Amino acid sequence: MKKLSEIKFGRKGVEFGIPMVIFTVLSLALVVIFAYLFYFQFFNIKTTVNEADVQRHAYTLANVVLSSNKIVYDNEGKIYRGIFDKTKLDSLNSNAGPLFSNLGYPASSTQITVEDLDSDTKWSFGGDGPQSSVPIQAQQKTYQVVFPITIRISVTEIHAGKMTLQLTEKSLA
Amino acid sequence: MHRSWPAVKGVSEPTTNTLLIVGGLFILIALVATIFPVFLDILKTAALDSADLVAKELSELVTVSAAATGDMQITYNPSNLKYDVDIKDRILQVDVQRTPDSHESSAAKIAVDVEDSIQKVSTFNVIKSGNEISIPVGGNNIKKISQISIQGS
Repeated sequence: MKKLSEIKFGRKGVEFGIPMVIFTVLSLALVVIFAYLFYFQFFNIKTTVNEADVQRHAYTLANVVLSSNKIVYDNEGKIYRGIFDKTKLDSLNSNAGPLFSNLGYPASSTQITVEDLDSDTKWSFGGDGPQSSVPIQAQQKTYQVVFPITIRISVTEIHAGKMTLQLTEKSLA
Repeated sequence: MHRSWPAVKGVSEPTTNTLLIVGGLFILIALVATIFPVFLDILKTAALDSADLVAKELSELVTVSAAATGDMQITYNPSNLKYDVDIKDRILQVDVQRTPDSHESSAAKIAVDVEDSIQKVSTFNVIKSGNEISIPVGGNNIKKISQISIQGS
């Protein structure tokens, strides 16, 4: 029987070693790539949603304002979306309370400017949302949206206009 | 026991090794190409039915329902998971128990006054009737209603 030191392994280590090392390295690299992609893909999706918070809130709030019977013309319970009532605008210009008493995101401030493009008249009013009952971030963000509207001056007179809504808010922590 | 690569006449051992490496790489690339879409699908599902996204989407649906000029119902089914939803002080809180050991919780803001609390629900019905907005379990039967259905993942 041969002693262990007499056994010739030849180039076995070299022949089997290199592919094994390469495959091990490749497998490890694959695991790292998968872990990296999983973490950052998931992270990216969450980040995108968070980043768009103020923008999405501004558009949603503007849509609610466009349908609010506190600012748009209504007749016999029917709300005329996007047709602002001059009488209501005059009233909101001096006291915006009725519009913002039950509308607005917590820890936010909303500023609305309505422009009559036919007569260069402007109405500007704003309001704050309630305090947040959950923790919020220290940093605040602002986003502005503009929507085309019409302004009902009287039964026979309607002007073209635009509504600019600027939302400043602090996101939830 | 001594083993060697299968003898290939006229082909040297380094060439055999190179061919094996190239073959191995080809199999790995094919494997990655097959697994990657499945992996992305799992990732997408995990993101879409997360408490974070459901809280954000449901809060937007509740707020935007106030923009409807008439009565309406929005049906939102993010996934088959069971969610607990609590709306108070214009904050919508969503809790979901994905597995017995994993619990997710998230909150989002709403801009209108709605107070509601529902448990273990996978399909939400946001209903606007008159000036009232609610999320009753099982929906409601309102006449002259506009219905919008949103399916999640």
